[in-house]
Amino acid sequence: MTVYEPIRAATWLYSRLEPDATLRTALGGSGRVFNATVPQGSTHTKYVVFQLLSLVPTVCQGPTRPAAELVYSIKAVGVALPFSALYAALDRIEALLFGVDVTATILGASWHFTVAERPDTSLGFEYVERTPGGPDYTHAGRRWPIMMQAA
Amino acid sequence: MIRATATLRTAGLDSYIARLPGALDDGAEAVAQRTAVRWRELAHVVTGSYRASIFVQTHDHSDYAEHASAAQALNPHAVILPEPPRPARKGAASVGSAVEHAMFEELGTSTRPAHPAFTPAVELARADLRAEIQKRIAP
Repeated sequence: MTVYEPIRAATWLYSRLEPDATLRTALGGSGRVFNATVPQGSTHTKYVVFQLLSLVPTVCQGPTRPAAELVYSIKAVGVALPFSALYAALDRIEALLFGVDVTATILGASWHFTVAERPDTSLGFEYVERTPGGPDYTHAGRRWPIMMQAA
Repeated sequence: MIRATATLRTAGLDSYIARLPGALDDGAEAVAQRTAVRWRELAHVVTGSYRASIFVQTHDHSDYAEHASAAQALNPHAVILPEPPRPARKGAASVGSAVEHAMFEELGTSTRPAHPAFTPAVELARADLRAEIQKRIAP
């Protein structure tokens, strides 16, 4: 069976971030972690968006890919807020992901997830998005290299 | 500025380098050029300015000016960023985008998801670096 890593990785990331009480407090409530897009009409002033940036299969056996290295962007976004208003959420994400080495059952299969740090690579970013006639959006976060393999 | 630098680490390879002068410099530039090509292939195209803005720098060469001009011509509203410093030494090469909205394309905005192109290109370059080292040190 061919596995589809991004669905499993996104499910794992969401399950790790969204239910966390400390992160919810930092964001001002629950339901503020999103995969790739924020629903139209959202009124949250602080939220987290994660998105797959790259996927490289590292082990292939016939039709299966039992291991892959993925890179995710995980960022906190603030509406008319300074970067400093995002740091508590970013610190909590760091605590929830940095050095992770766990096995989890995701969508009925057991997978091992490792956050594969790269000390020689710059991964952090901050930028401001200005909208005509609207508020400024501050985006801050980093890219997270995640190894996943069938357990 | 969204930008990556490819560096061939030469520690422990002095004897090989002595026999192959310039080979590692060429390797870094070759990887950077290939990364730029992949990045352009993956870049999200609306006006084409983002794709046209992708440039390569080495210690003694840069095509920033022509790519910044091409990007500005395709989209006069594009914010052109100043050229960053070139790599300080031989054996290193950089790829970058000259337009501000490269960051928005790569990492998304409040209303649009990311269209990653830089990261996949750089991830493939990591494998290229290893291959270039092997090809040049032990052909």
